[in-house]
Order: sequence, then structure tokens, then C-alpha cells
Amino acid sequence: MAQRIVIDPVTRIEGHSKITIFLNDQGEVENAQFHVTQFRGFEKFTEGRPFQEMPSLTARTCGICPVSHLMASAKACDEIMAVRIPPTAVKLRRVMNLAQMVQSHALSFFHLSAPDFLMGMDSDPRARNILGVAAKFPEIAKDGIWLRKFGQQIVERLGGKRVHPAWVVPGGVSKPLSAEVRDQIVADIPQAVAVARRTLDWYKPAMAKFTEEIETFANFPSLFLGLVGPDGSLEHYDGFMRIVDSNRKIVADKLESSAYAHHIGEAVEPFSYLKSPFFKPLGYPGGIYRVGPLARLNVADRCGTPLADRELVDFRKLQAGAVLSSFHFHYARLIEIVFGIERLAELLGSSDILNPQVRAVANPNRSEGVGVSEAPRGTLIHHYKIDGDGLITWANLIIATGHNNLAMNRGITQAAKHFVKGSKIAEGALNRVEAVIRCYDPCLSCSTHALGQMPLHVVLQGPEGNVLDECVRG
Amino acid sequence: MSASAADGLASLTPPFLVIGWGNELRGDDAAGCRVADAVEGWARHDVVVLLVHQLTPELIENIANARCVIFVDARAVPAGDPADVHVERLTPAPDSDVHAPVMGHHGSPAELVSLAGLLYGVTPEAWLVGVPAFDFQLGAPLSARAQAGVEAALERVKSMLTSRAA
Repeated sequence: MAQRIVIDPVTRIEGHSKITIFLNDQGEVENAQFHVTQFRGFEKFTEGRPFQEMPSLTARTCGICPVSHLMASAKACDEIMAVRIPPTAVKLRRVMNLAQMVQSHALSFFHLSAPDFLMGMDSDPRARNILGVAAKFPEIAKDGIWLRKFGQQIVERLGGKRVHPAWVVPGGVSKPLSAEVRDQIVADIPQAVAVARRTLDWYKPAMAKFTEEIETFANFPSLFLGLVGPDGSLEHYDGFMRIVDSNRKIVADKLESSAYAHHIGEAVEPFSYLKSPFFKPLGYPGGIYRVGPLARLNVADRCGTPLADRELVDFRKLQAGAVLSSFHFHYARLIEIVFGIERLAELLGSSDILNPQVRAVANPNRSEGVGVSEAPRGTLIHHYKIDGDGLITWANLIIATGHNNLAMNRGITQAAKHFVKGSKIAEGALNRVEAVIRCYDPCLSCSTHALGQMPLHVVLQGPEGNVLDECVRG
Repeated sequence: MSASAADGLASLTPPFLVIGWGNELRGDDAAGCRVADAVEGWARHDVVVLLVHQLTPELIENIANARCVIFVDARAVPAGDPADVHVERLTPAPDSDVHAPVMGHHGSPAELVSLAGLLYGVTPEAWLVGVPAFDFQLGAPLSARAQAGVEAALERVKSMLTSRAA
């Protein structure tokens, strides 16, 4: 008889989800689904609020990446005000954005995924966590904790607190940087570089132990989407959207943020609160694409900082064309950490970083605004419409993790077909299916929206899709 | 951090660490933060005070550098139970008994003390002060009963610091 295997909850990710694996009568994996089980509703309950509140409101979508929402939201508000914010404000926003990326990537790599790399995918799950890493690899654990603290302290020094800092505002930032705070941040940069480099030094050779996982963890052709700068370099705050195919051939380039809806559609599947964005010219689901660190390194021509560019040369040797295995999100994250630290040093060393002019002030001058930035997990889009009083009438948020929904579903199916066999399910096999999701470092707290009632419908399906049992609520 | 550097830092760092944590937007959940806030107002040279939203691994270095750590949190009181301040000595569990399913962005006081021992070879004296809490509604101020608990908790913390400072 056909069976389902359910992994609920998926562990060591941000937010809540479950995975259902469908077996046929022979006990072979037929299909798998990634269900996001959270309800948020930000797009609805922000209607009627003054647009100036949106950065603060949408920052509350998440406690891990609130800065990302501040960036995209503030940029959407800048468009509504029709202002070009002062150059120093751009640099300061970039500093905070990069700091958040460093701490978020450190959390993902060291706390959530390093237990798999260091303790082993098949190790005792009771020790496969940061405490287990601390017991066996204390110096690595210390590095991870220090690196995350480095990024968080920058956010706190700039914005007054680590979580939901109120400093990024429509028109710029609320106060300039002092020399004292700049010097405090700069003093930690050498150690941050050292931690990032020695992490790459142990991780790169360690990848050789995971050839099977590299081969099967969401390793398939797809498009890749990310922001790039005017010169095609790695970009996290501004720039244009670029899409490449699995040969790294540019499919679409210099796409203006405000025109995202011409290129990106959103589909809804009944088994998840997470929508499925797709590239419109290729339709759904053929227009599958990925975002995030792996995608950003695939779409960019270069990083633009010396150490990161040296690492990018090695990264590109993994595969001709685009690097396709989602396992390499982890490697890409480490390169982005190096880039982030180098770029922070450059920005903080610029001659105008202490300039007191950091905010443009204006009333609304447009009825609509779109803000796009790169969150640690990928491209983030905030789109607002307002009425004559500046109150939000409509909001659309396309979240980084949402872009990856199709790819995550395809990825867990691929991994489940390879690792889940027969009637005896090994814990390590289920851990590997979860680990596919962890490659994407999803932030499910951010990425789900639903309107109206929250229905609950549980269905047990046979191999032909026939309903064996179901229950409905709501 | 090298052992000698850690020793040097520890000798310069105040011996007591008070960590108050909770969600200041959820009524009585702010009780731990209110206590920490008040302790900070005492301006004692021998106490470092941290007010945080959650307990995270980034606190471990602070913990390892202290001689005595006092965690302060709201303690939900079941209906009918006495509304006392609870004071509990924390003992790090043996490694085999410690389970940390997700420690990326929140942990328990005992887990953090265990981690400080694992990473820095230092396990300070650690206590958990539970302030009685009753109402966790969004946006609500501290209830009158929780405020009374805060005052009682402050007396306990003062007594702990005084007896150990001697």
C-alpha cells in the first residue's frame, strides 16, 4: 500500500514547515512536497497605514532579517516621495545591509548547517547541533559565535538595537555615523577577515566528503536571479535585476525594479502558504529560478573586492557555466561573508562616511513605489500603492525565500528519490532531505502570506492521487 | 580568544553579570527586562547588566568572563499558585543530557552556561530569578501584580549581589 513519510517539523531552519514524501506501492519515492505552515498577513493588515510606517511595520516580519525589509521598504518609500537620498545615506544603508548579511550567513553556516558538515549527516541527532560542535570543535564554534556577534554589533551600533533597529527611514537614515562608532567597527575588521578566511580553509577541503550530497541536493538546471551593479558586479542594495540560465548566459538584464511584475509571476499551490514565483516568459512551472548567495555569484561578473574575487575564481572551477548544486549555497555564503567584510571596510574608509547630511525629506509625490534589495536569502521586493492621504491601499511583498519555493520542492523530491529507499527509513536519509531545505537557508517567518481564513485540510493520497482519507477544518 | 587573553579580560571585567530578557511588547513578559533596567540604574561598578530580547550564543563570552551570572525572566504563574519570586541555582547538565534542537537564535540559561564551559573552560556560578507574571497580552503594560514581583525580585538580586561582593 502507498505510504507517506512526513517530516514535521523541519529542524534547524527559520520558521515552520513540513515535508511530505509520497511513496508508490513498491515503496519508492514518487514525489515530495515542501509545506510552509505559517500564516502572516502583512500585505493585508498594513492597508490603511501611513506609508512612512512601512519600514517599521514590515521589519517585524522577521527577527533574523529585519534589516532586509527595512532596506526594501525604505526604498519603496523613497520612490513614493520621489527623492534621491544623500550619498552618505546610501553608504550607511549599505553598511547596515552588509552587516546583517554577515551575521545571517554566519547563523546559517555555523549554527544551522555546520553540525551536518562537522558531526556528519548520519551522526546522533542529539549531538548534531551547536553544542555538539562546541564540544568537538570549540574553535570553530567560537568563530561562528564571534562572526555573528560582529555583524549584530554593527547593526546595534548604527541602529540602536540588534533586532528591528529603527534607523533606516524613508529618505535616508535617521542619524549620521560618529567617528567613535566608525572606529569601533573598523577595529574588528581584521579579526572578521581572519575568521572568514580560516572558515573557508577548513570548509573547502571538507566538501570532498559530501560528493553524494553535492550531486543530489537540488542539483538541476534552472535560471538564477539577482541584483548586479551597473558594471555587473555583486550587489546587495541597489542596481538592476539580472537573470542567467544554467550556462550563465544572460537571459534578461538591466531589469528595472519597478518593472518586476512584467517578468515575475506568482502561482499558488494548495499544499503551502508559500507562493511560487516564476519567470513569466517561460511560464509556470517552467520559469523556475533560484535566488540567494548561489544565484548572486552565478549572475555577477565579479565580486569587486580582492579576497572575494580570488575565492570566486576557485568557486567557478566547480562547474562550467553556472554552479548548479544547491549544496554550494553554503560555499557561496562564505564568499559573500568575505565580500561583505571587505566592502564594509571600503565604505567605512570613504571620506564622506561621517557627513551629517543623511536624510531627504518630502511629502508623497507618487502614488506607487517599488523597492528591491538583496536579503541574505535572495531578492526581496516591496511594492506599495497609496491614496491621496499617503495611506497604504495595497501592498505586495515578494520575499527571497518565496522565489526559491519551486526549487526547494524540486530539490527535496530529488534528494528523497536518492536517499529514501525501501521500508526502513534511516534517520540520516530524512536528515538529508531536511538538509536540502537548509541549503536555501529559508526564512519562512518572512515568506508566507494569506488572506482571510486559515483553513486546515489534511489529505492522504494513494499512488493514483485517489483520496484515501481527509479531514477539513474552516 | 586565548586562555591568557581571556584571563586578562576576566580580571578587568566586573565579576557580576545580570541578564534580563523578555519581550517588552507583551505585558508581563517584560518583567525580566524591568528588573535588569533597575539594576543598571544602581550604577554598581561590579555589575554588568544586559537587557536582551532573547538568550543567544553571542552572550557566552560575557558569561564566561563573569564570576556570577544572574538571569532574570518572567515566570508564568498558573492560576491558584502562589505568586512568589523563584530563585534557582543553575547547574549545567552533563554533555550527554544537553539537547539543543535549535540554538541559532534562542537558548535557555542552562544551555548558555554549558556552552560557556565547553568553549572557554569556565562555568560561573549561575542563577535564574523568575519574576511572577500573569498577563502576556500584546501591547499591555506590566500588570500591578507583576510590578510587585519586580520589586520583590530586585530585593532578592540586591541581596545576592551584596552577599557575594563581600
